[in-house]
Parts: sequence; C-alpha cells; structure tokens
Amino acid sequence: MRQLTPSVADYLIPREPFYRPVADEVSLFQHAWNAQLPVLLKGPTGCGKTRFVSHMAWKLGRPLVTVACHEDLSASDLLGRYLLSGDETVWVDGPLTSAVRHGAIVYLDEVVEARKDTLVVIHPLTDDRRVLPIDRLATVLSAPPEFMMVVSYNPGYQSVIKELKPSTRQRFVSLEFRYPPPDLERDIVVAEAKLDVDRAARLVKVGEKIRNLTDRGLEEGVSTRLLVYCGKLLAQGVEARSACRAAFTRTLTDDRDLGRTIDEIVADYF
Amino acid sequence: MPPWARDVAPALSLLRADAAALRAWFRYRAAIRDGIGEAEAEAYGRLVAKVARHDGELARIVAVTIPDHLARVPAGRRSVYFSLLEEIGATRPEALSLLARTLPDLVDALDDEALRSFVRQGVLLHEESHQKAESFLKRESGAALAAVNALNGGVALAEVSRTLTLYARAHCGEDVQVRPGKGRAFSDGHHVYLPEVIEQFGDERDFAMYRVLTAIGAGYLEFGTFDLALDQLPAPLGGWPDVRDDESELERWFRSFSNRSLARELFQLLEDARIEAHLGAEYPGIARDLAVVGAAMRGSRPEPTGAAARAVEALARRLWALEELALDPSVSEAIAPLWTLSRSLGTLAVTDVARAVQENYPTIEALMLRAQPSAPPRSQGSERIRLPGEGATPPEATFQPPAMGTRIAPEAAGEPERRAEAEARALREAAAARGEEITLAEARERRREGERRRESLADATAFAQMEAMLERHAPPGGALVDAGTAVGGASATQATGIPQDPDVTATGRNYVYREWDCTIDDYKPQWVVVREARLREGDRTFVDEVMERERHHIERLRRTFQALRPEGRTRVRGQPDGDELDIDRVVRGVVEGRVTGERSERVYSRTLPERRDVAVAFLLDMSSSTNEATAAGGKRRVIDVEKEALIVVAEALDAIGDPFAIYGFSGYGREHVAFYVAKDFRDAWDDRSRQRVGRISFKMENRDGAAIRHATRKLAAEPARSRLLFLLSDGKPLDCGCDHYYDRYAQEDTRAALREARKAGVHPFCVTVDPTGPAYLKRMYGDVGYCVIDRVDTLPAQIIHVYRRLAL
Repeated sequence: MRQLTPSVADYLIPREPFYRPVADEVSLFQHAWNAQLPVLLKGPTGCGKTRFVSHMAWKLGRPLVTVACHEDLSASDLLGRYLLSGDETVWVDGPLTSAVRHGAIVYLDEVVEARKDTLVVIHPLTDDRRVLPIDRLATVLSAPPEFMMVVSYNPGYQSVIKELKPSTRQRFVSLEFRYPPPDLERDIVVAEAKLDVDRAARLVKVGEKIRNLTDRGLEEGVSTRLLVYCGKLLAQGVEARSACRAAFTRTLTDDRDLGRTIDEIVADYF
Repeated sequence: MPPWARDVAPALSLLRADAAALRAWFRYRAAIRDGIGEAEAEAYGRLVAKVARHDGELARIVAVTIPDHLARVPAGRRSVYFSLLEEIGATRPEALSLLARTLPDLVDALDDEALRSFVRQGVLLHEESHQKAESFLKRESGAALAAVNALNGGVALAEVSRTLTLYARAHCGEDVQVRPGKGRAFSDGHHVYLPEVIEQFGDERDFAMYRVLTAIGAGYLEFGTFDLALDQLPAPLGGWPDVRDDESELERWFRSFSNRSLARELFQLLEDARIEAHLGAEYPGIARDLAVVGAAMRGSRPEPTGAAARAVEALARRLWALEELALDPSVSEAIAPLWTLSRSLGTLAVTDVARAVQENYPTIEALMLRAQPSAPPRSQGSERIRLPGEGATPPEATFQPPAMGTRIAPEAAGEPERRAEAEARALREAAAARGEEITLAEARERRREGERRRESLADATAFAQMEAMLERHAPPGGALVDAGTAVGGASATQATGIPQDPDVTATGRNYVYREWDCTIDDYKPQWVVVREARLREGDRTFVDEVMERERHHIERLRRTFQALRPEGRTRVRGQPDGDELDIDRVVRGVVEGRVTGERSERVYSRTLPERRDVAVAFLLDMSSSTNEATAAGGKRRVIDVEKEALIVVAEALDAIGDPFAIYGFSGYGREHVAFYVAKDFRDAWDDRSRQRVGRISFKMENRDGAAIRHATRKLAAEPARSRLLFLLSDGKPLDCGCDHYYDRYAQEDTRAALREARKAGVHPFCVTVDPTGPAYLKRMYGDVGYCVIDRVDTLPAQIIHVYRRLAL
C-alpha cells in the first residue's frame, strides 16, 4: 500500500512575516510551545491572528499547516483518506496527519465553524497523550515535541450558541487578540502599507470611529487588515476619500445610510 | 337645521349614484361626526356626494378610504386635507383614493403652499402612471425627495436622520438617537435633537450644518459634558442643593446658582467653545465645516445694553471670533479670567469649565446687581443674595443664543432616561460605598450591562414556560382531508358589490369552504367564500423602522436560527467522490471489472448533514379589534406588534432559507372572507415582500375558521415534511357580517378548523397577543398548541421556540 504525504518544504515559511507584538503574546506562545501546550487565539477578524501564527512559525522554524474550518469539514478531511489508483488503494495524508508527521504547527482557523463531532479527532492530540490514532491505517501517530496545535475563533460575530464544547475548549491555553492600540496600529499601517505617519494616523482614527458602530449598525468594526489595504491604496496615490470608500464604505456595508455615515466619518479626517 | 337634514342632500345624490356608496357613507358619517367633528363629517359627505355625481363606484371607494386616514390628519390641517381632495376630485378624480391615503403624511411635512404645489405635481404624474404618482406622493421616489427639497429648500431631517444617528454613534460610541427638535437643536445626553429642516444656504452647506450640529450634540457625550459630577467641584456655601430623584447632576448644579439663567448661559458658552475646540482638534473635517457654516450658525448678534448681558455677549463674540463689543472696563475685567481660560479649552474637561463658571459667576452677577438697584435683594436663610424670580430670566441677563447652536438640555430627557440616570447614580454610590471609584459614564455602562442580562434572563424564563407548555402538546400526525373546493374567479367580486379594497392589487380566486355549526352538530357545506387577494406594496417606513430598531434582535434571532441546524448526519454510499472507500463496493467493482472489463467508479461513501424540511405559514388576524392597544404594550396596537414580530421572524427565517408565507385575513360576512397574501411561499423575502407586510392594516371582522381552512389548504400543497401554521390573533373570532358568528359558534368553528388542519398534516399553533385573553381559549385552542403572551417583545422569541420544537 502506498502512502502519500506532502513534503515539509511546502509548509516552511521562508521570510519573516511582519508582526508587531501588542502585549506578551510572543513570549507566551513561545513558552506554550516549549511546554507542548495547544493554544487558542481569539479576536475579531483581521486583527492579526493568522499573521501572528505565521510569525511564530517562522520564529520557531517550524512548518505551518493551516486548515480553514467550515461546516462540512469532516474527520477524514483532517486525517486523510484512501483513494483508488488502478487496482490499488493509496492513502493520502490529511493536513492534520502530515502536520503530526512533520512536527509542524497546525493552525485550525475559525475553528467554531467546524462541527463539534469533527473536532473530537483533535482531542487525543491536545492532552498529555499527544497522539493521533488513525483507525483506517490501524496506527497511532505520536506527535514529536515540536508539534503544536493552534486554533482560532472570532467571538464577535459567533454567538453564544456557536461555541466550542467545553471539553474541546479546556484543552487550550488562550490568547486574546484585539485591534492594536492606536499608536501601534498606526505603526503597523506605516510599515505594511509604506504610508506616511500623518495619513496612517488619520486612517487609524477613522477606523476607531467606525468601530464605534460595531453592533450599532455594523456587524464588525473595520479590521487592521482593511486599514492596511486602504493605506496601500493611499500610498499608490489614490485620492483619500475614494480610497476609503473602496476600502471601508463599500466593503463594510451595503446599507446606503450607513455608507453615507462612514463617508462622513472619513470626511471628518480627510 | 337639525343634523339629519344636512345629510339629506348628499344621501339623495348618493342613492341615485350608487347604493353601496350610500351604505358606506352612512356607516362612517356618524363615526366621523362623533370621533372627529361636525365640520369634517360635513366635508366628508360633501366630497363623497360630489364624486358620486360622476362616478358611483369611485364614490364608494372614497367613502371607505377617507375615514381610515382622516384620523391621522392633525386637527388644524383637516380643512386643507378636504379642500385639496375637492380640488383633485374636480380635476382628476382617479387619483382621489391615492391622495386620501397619502395626504395625511404630507400635511405634516409641508406647509400649505408647498403642499398644494407638491400635490399638483403628483397629480400630473398620475396622468402618466398610477405607480409613479403613488411613489411620488409617498415621497419614496427620488423625484419626490428632490421636489420636497426644492419646495422646502434645504435638507430635510427625515432624509438624513439615520445617517446622522449613525454618525453621532460613531463619534461618541454610545447609542444616541437623532430626533426632530421642533426647529431647535439641543441634546439631553441621550438624544440629539435637530431642526426638521435646514434651509440656510440651499446647497450642500445645509447638510454640513446638520453635520456640525450632530457632531456638537454627540460631542457633549464624547467629551463628557453630561458626566459632570458635583463631588469633583468645590461645594458652594451652604452645600449643594438636595438631591432630587428625577434630576441629572447638571440640573442640580444649575440649581445651585441664584440666577440659573446666567449660570446656564455662561456654562453653555464655555462648554460649547470647549466642545468645538476638542472637535476641531480631533476632526479636521469638522473644523473645516465649522469655518464654512459657523457665521450662519451664530446668526446676527444683538447689542445688549445691560452690563451682565453685555458681558456674556462680549465673551460669546470673542469665543466665536466675531467683531468685538465695546465694553466698560468693569465688564471687561469681569470676563477676563474666563477669556484667559478659553484659550486652553482644548485640553480641559467639563469639570474645569464648571469650576471656572462657579468662580467667575459672582463678579458677573454683581454687574447685574449694580445695574438693578431697584430690585430688592431677598434673604433666603443663607447669606447668599438671590434675585427675584428664581428660574425666570431677569431682563438684565438675557442673552441671545446662537441662531442654530446646539443647547445642552438635560431637562429635556424623558422619564425612562431619567430613571436610567438615577439608577446609574445609585450604582455609582453603591460602588463608592464598597470603596470603588467609578465615573458616572462607567456606572451608566454597568447599568446597561445589567439590563441586557435581565433581558436575556426574561427571554430564558419565557423559553422555559413555553417548553413546558409544548411538552403537553405533542405534534400530531394524520392524513389529508378535503380542504375545500375552488370556485369562481375574480368576476364574482364585481358582482358582490363589495368595495374594491385600496390595499390590494387584483383579487385572485375565490374558494368555498364548509363551516362547523355547533348548533346542529354538523358542517354546513359550501358555506363560506374566501377571497384571496394580494396586498399592494406599502410604505417602507414601518419596515425600515422596525428593522433599524430591532437590528440587534434580528441579528440575534438570525444566529439562533442558524444554530437550529440539525446536527444529524446521513451516510450516502455509491458516490464518485467522498470521505471513505466503501470496501463492499470496491470489492464488487474489482470483481465486476475482472468479469466485464468495466468497473463502477462509485465506490466512495460520504456523510451529509441532514437538512431540515419545513414550510411555515403565518396567518395574521387583521380584524378591527387588532387596532386596539395591547394591554401591556402601552400605546402600541396589536396589529403593529404582530407586524413587527413577523418582520423580525421573517428576517431570521430568510437567513436559514426555510420556505415561509405571510397571510392576513379579515372580511365581512360569510361571502366575503378576505384572505390577504403579503408573501407567498414562492415569493422571495425582498423589499417588495417587506413592503407588502408594511401594508398590513386592520380591516373589519375575523372569521377565523374559514381563514384557517384556506391557509391549511395552501400549506398542504407545499412539498415539505413538516408544515407549521402560526395563527396570530386577539383570540376573539367574530364576524358581525352575519348574525351567528360570535361566541360559542365562532369558537367551535375555529376549533373544528384547527382540528381539520391537524388532520391535513399541518401543525397549527395559536399565539394570542392579549394577556387578558378570554377564558375560553383553552377550550377553543385546547387540542392544539397555543400561548397567550403578555409581553409583546417576546413574540419573536416565542415563535422561534415553537419553531425549534415543531420544525426539527
């Protein structure tokens, strides 16, 4: 029987991803990795969770396997499956299995989107056993010390109903992410978008005001990622109001009145 | 002349024209006379008679339409209402019924002359198309808004209030609301009141003015004006005035001055300057707009003569960088410290401004006292000297506020806001007693937090009660029975002489149903005619308001519904692609391949999540009794509450894609049970459907049995595994259009219809929006699920809960 697993080189992060620490998350993560503890990241969309994980994978020199979770994700999507090739079956590793084999960091993005019964497969990996039983291969993989499980979710638009089971949740140490404080966010926009400090600062203020509308019309506030996008448009020489309209207004809402409000907030600063 | 004599002439002309019009007129004339007034009843009679001379049928429609809408016209404008109707009746009678419906909203928005001009434009459009005229007169079309603006000049608040509300919220991060302020701009700390229209410039600067006013109004919250706490200020001699429960800290502080108006003006001036300084520093765009509209906002300044008034005016002019006032040295000296302070306002807090006012108030008050030696000072038990007329403004202190400036008006706060404020203060004191220092703003936030928790707790209790109730009513099963026979077409409608309902488009088919007669213990076959009609699209405002107000609620429900996804899974075999190899099929495939040379590729199995398969219909009682206020809900009418709940639930249902329909029913007599379709199963839940729900209004009687039978028929035709029928009513089936459909007969028929529904595989569920609901409900709904709800806000939650239980 043949077995296929993707090569480790595909998952290595070649260059340092830009990341500005907000608090002690870098050292906490590093200690968690040393202590072989799984980590849960929570925070609103676009506040830097994924970037943080790539940064840490690079820093720790580990390959990073990312799985975007969704409702139809099944256990075999994670573990792997048999395929037919001619008269023989071929086992193809799923992302979780190959991460365990390579001692990688596996990152389950938006983990609550996956169904609860699917998530049960990660349980043996996330306690002190650190093993991955694969029934269909009749084997139990032991995770090497470098292996680490990281999951993320966004408590903002997920309701209380869509929650992790306590039995899943209590296997993790949790790091909470928020939008960075204004000065830091400004530096991030400056660095990522290559924008001047003055306009970056104004963008960040626009962002702050728009975030005031969260739950008052907007489902979620404007993300740092969108601020960076807008900054990139500005750095390209796009006129401020139309850049903001493209990056914020049209992206955040289809509601005409709300859109006008966002335009007016932009006009407060540009 | 006796009252009846006046009626003879119109009655005669109506009789000649159209008997049905005469009946309608007869029915409503007295109601208008008693409920509204003699003059109106007469104008009504005159108008109907006039129309009848040309067109009997139209007269009938007008006779039926006007009474419903007349009540919405403010008393002073009713003569205009009738005179416009008469004018249009003479020139373009076809537009009359449309006008009768749309005018009440217009008379509020436009003055007489603008109104006439606007209506004439609308009627001109009517010659092109009825639809265009309708959306114009309802001010829905762009052309209409432009026309209103052109007639009014400037920008109307109604057009921009939502944008401004959101804008204010973005600035201050609190749930403020923009409201019309009857021509003035002020804020009570919870609302930003703005003038209904701004027409200073006639171009985009009018909106800029709104924007600046909103920013200042929100600025009071953003920069803490309403967070003034007296314990951070030096107490006056004799201490602070006693605490009053229904009063904000600011009001209490104003009360500590002998001349409140003077203190208030000083505070207002400096505080506004402080807010403007903060706004300018934070928002370059506002500073820009303020430079443009500032002069118009301040208005032309007066030249007061009294020393204190001059002092305040001089300070104002300096703060606003206007031409200075020539001053006596003593006056100049009096305001010098405040002027010095004002240059650093951008870094100060409200406490600093209040302290400065407290410190400088005596010198300025002294100016006034010197100028008014004749006013005898009165001793009030303390050494302080008080001016006569506490609260009233002595002539000396009169200050003309800026023409358009926003005022700080904590006294404008309503009763709920005051209660909230008092609770927040109590929280703060309680925290202080525990040795915890929190600001007033933090206390307010804590109070809100607690309120949210209580709300969700109340929801949970309602859920638990519902759950227990549902346990007693297991979903029924059974076979389909004959629901009724379709007869006739739209032609029957014309023959009946029932007035064409202005709220519906073409009437659809008619259906005949049997009815249960408990007096003979048998069905009367072919007894009731149900006429199905599709509602027209109505006004957007109702739906928009509900969607805006209930935004959080809708969002929460939507998530709840999404979470209603069944967690079950089914395994399907023989797939070309899937999670797992199906070993049996692989082996079979290999064998087949060896034997026939062809092998099946379908060797995988995959798990699929189970889908819910449910169709739900809402059947709404639209009888006139739903026009009554709900017992618990204050002024809100049953029908509005029902509509609101429907919109909220529909939004949630739409999110999960379950097919649903919204029907209403009313009618008069057994041959005219009207069945209104706002949204059928095949309609999308789009703006048009929402507007049709907005069109739902109370009509006449409710013959529940027939409507239930018809809804059952429609539901039974849906190819779903489970079918739900929600009956929303006031629990009083009643049809005065015939002499026996009331009390026991009506209840027994309703009960029979519900029983039939169950047999047809439909799960009925009855919701009665009336806590004082009659005692026979249990008997009437007894064998199907029902609930009586007292708190209308829980209706959507209740529906969801039933839904969860029945649909899964």
